This record gives sequence, structure tokens and C-alpha cells, in this order.
Amino acid sequence: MVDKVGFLITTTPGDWQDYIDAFTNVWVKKLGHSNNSIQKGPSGGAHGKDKDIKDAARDFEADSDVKVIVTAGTGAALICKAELGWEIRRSAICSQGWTGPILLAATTDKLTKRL
Amino acid sequence: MKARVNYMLDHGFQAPFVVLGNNANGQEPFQTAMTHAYNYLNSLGHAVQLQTITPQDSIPTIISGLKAQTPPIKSIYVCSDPYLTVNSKLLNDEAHDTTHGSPYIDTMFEIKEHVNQHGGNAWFGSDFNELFEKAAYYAHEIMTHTGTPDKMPNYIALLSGGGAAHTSKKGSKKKPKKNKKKK
Repeated sequence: MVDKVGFLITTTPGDWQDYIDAFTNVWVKKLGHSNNSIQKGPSGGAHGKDKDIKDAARDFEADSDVKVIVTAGTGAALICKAELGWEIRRSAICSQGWTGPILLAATTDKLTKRL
Repeated sequence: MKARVNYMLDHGFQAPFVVLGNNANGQEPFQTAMTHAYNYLNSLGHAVQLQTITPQDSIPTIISGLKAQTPPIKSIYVCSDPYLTVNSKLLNDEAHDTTHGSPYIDTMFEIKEHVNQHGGNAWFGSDFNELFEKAAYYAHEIMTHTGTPDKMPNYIALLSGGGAAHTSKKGSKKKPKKNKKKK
């Protein structure tokens, strides 16, 4: 089994292509991980729907191969905090500890301090 | 937020302004972000109003309403969320539609993709590509057990921006000239 990164796409794969490319460029080319160690979800993206974001986060959490979840947006980070109980630190790094997935959430500015 | 508003004001955006986002029922972080932007624009003496938008609202109807005001809204400062991102092109198309004498509204965002991919006028904020590159290094440290999340420094990307208001002489004319010289 390959340890995986869950890529939680909150809008559409098209909107996220640049982000996926930026992450993949470092993850695969510079750090030497395999392409199949990136698992994207939900299929077709969450299209901004809170329920789909929550469901995707829960799916990743339930997948024992997924060790880290990466997403973007203060809203998504807040959903993780509210729905999954992840602890969130400034700049929106959510941690459930070493036994569960870790969420790295890119957010826009210092408002994330409120998280 | 102030830097983003200042960028907008420095790049041709004009009053009256609307600060648009989903702050329904005081939803955070949008309520705080929108209120800060509203208060700052107000403190600078600009005409500004808040406008709530939810997934249940019709974007064309809301934009039409802003255009029908007296005087019509000239600039929208968007506090985007995933729903607005998915519908960003529609929002921009409606704001920029001038058929039948409809007034043009400039749109300001916090993320570059709203301009590069969805037709917004300008953006100012964090470079998300840089954030995702950094996320890859952090994820690597976590998965290889060479770092722990609680000890990783909180990374804040540098702020940058691009674009300008439709009528701005600054942004719309300077950039093409620079490109021509380089070629």
C-alpha cells in the first residue's frame, strides 16, 4: 500500500489545475513521490457545495491510505474544524495528531488567525 | 485586507462600491472580512454598501439590482468562497455586460485565478501556487516523519496582485506596452 495525499478539490478540477500542477511538481519531481500517491476527490470537484466538501473530507479521513489532506480556502478549513473536529493552527494547518490525517489548507490572508 | 483595498483604489476602481460575499447569518470568516473592507472604504470617504449573496441567490438578479441603483454601482469587491469561485465567470460576465446601455461594473478578487481564468478585472492576495508548493514540502515532512505539524512554522505567502479597472489607464495600457518591448 502506498501512503497517499488526499487532494480535496473544493470547486472544480479545472479551477484547481494550477494548484494540482504546483503541488505535483514538487511532490513528484523534486521529492520523488509517485503520481499515484496523490488521490483527488471528490470526483469532479465539490463545486463549492458544503455538503460535498464535508463528504469528501470524511471519505479521506476514512481511507487508511490517506495520511495527509491538502485543500485550499478558509471556508474548507472551517468546515474541517466544525465537522471533523480537526484542530487548526494559524495559517490553517489542521492536525488530528499522528494517528489520523493531517490537513494543510492554503488560505488567503491573516484573517486565518481567527481560525 | 487594507492592502487589497488600496490596490483596488490605486488601479482605477471607482465608487460606489459593493462588498459582496456570503455573510448570511453572520457567517465567518466572510462577515469579518466584508465588514473590515466596508469600514475601511467608508473611512476613506467612499460610498460603499454590503451585499450578501448565497448559493440560493441568482447572480444575474443581484448584479442587475446593483446596476439599477441610483447611481449605479461601479465596483464590486468580492469576498469569494468556493461557490462564488465556481460561478465567478457568470458573475464577471454579468458585471461586464454593457448590452442595451447596461453600466459596466469592475470586479476585484483576492485570488489570481478569478482574473486569469474567469475574467475578473483585478486581484490582490497570496500566491496560491506558492502555497501549494509549500504544502508539498510540509506533507513530505509529515509522511516521512521528519517533521511534526505542531512544530512546522506557519507559512504566509508573499502578497502580490494584477490587473486593473476596465477604465483605468494604469493597468490596461502599461502591461501591453511592456510585453511589446520584451518581444
